[in-house]
Amino acid sequence: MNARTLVSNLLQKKEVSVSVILAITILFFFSIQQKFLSNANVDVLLKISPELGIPALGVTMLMIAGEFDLSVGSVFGLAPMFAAVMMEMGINPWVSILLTLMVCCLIGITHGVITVKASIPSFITTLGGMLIWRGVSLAVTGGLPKYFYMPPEFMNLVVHRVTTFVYMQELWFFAITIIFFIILERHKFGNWMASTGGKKEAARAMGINTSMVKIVCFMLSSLAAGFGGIIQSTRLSQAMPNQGDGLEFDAIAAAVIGGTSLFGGSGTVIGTVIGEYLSRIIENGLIIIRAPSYYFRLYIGVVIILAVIANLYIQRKAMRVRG
Amino acid sequence: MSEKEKVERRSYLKYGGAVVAAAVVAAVGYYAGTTTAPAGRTVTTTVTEAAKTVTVTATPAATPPPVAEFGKGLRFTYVTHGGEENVFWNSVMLGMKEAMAVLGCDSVMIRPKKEGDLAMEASAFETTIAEKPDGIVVPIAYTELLPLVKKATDAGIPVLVHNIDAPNAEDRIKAGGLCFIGQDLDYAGYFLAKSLSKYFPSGSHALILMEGPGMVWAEERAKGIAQFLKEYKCTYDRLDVSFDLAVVESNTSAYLQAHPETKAVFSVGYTSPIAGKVLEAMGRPPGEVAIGTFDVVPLVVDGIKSGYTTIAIDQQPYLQGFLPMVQLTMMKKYALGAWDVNTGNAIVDKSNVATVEELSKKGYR
Repeated sequence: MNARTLVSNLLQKKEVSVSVILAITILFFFSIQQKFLSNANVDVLLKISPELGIPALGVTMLMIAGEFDLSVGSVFGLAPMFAAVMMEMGINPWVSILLTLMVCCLIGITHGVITVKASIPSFITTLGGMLIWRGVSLAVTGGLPKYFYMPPEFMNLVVHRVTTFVYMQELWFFAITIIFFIILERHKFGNWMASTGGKKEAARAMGINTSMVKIVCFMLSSLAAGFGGIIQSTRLSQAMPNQGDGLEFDAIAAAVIGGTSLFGGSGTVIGTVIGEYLSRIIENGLIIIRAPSYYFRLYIGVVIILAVIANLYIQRKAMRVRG
Repeated sequence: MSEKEKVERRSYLKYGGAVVAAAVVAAVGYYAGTTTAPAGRTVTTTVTEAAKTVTVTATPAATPPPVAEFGKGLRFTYVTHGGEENVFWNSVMLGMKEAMAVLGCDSVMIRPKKEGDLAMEASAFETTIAEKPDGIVVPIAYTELLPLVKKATDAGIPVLVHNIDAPNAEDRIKAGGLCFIGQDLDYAGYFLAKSLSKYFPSGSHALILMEGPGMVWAEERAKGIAQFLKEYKCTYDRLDVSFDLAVVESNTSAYLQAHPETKAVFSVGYTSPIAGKVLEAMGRPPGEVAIGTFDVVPLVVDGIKSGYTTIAIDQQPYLQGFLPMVQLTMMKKYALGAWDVNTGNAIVDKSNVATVEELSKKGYR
């Protein structure tokens, strides 16, 4: 065992190779504009990333189990809307949030049961879900925005700024990451997920209840999306009917950049966290180095593709060194 | 897993599904109930206010007031590009619905499933012409719609344009569009910048947040803002963003870090109050950077209350839904002519934000 093998072993881990890319990106922006790492800029990046990152974690879990969820953006919008409506009806805010999260779970379970029992691609089920849940939030509110004033205790629990760079939403983000990480890497359920997503027939032959595994993952995905939406609404004190529009693609992109396979069976939540930060940082960094604004989309598109290619390249290279 | 456990799990799922369905149905039902209630309430207030000019004496009553007979039998259609999730268009629709209740005519608003879907709007327009209503109300979101305005006019259906006028008003008039009821977008941008200029010095630097790059409404407003900034001898940058508020926050923060000399922030949509949150996080006091925005949504109201957002221009979508119905009814009943209305120069600032907030909760502002 020499140092070279150690490095190559490390680089084969998806989390490590994407971290290398993240580090290079940060250094790149920092070398051009020192303000990139100023307190205020780092602070805002840390503050907003959990809102989009938590749904991405749920999506990652589901992708590992071999399914997609296109409805996360709609559930992200529906959850706070639902809570706001309940609060308007005079229901206690804490109870409203609890009920909302339960409804999110049930939405996920519904997607899962339909996908599994009717044997249709989750792409279709959740495409339907995307339209249905957006439709429900529009129908319920007549499409109008809602104020979302939560009691201070709740705000302290969810969006409070603990100290510089530390926000409650970040702690939630990391706590959920750790829980998902433990499930994936240390618990048998994680093995079941990977086998279900990788080789369903083999998993079934091994006696794994693949339907149950998928349904649970659908539930996690919707729950995470709903929670993300509640965080954003709590922070901005408003629930918008178009909240989370397009979020599904950001979430899938974060997962894929982080090294989760589009075909199921393999993936990592830590990779997703880094992937999420990477996509936020690319956009933020381009602005801070004063890249001409008309070209942003173009740059971001190119950088995302390059990041995924670089990630694969580093891993392959590492494998060759080892071989 | 035992058979019993399996059965239990299945029944959990079954009941779970039932609860979701029940919750959804109940919520929709509840809301269907309550949304009609405020409509009823306001009908009476609108009528009493209108009574001064229309000289119709209507007392607040649960039964529809006699005015509701005024436009009976008339059928109008609104063909729009505003998707169902578009908050703005919901206020337009509320205006239309209340005008319907007041005037007693019938009207529908066709909205595409996907925001700004031209193909869908054009085909809905064609269908509407074939169906021959007593009048059509349409925003010219795309110049491709002008030939259809002509087709409707040739078929004898009066067409009023609301919300967005053709880039060149002459083209709309030539096609037969009788009037424009809405905000002159280009001028609205100019008006916003001019109104905000009280709060930032001439010759300074400004940022324009573009939520809809490439879309007519956004580009026109940006053009107006830019035109005033040039006259005011300011430099400016435009930053393409979307309505994804988390991304707007990160991007605006990066921009303000890189350009600390920025003295004013505009948005063509409603996202510039986010810049206020960014400045607050950077420890800069309210008022140091002037912030101007459009539309009245909770974010804007809170921004104005906090002092970071200076002014917002409300283009009063409710009027864009209400007034075309009034005009069309007058035209049909008494052969009166249509008239242009600029709905878009209502300023919301600290002085009137409380009133506007109450009305915005109900969808009127």
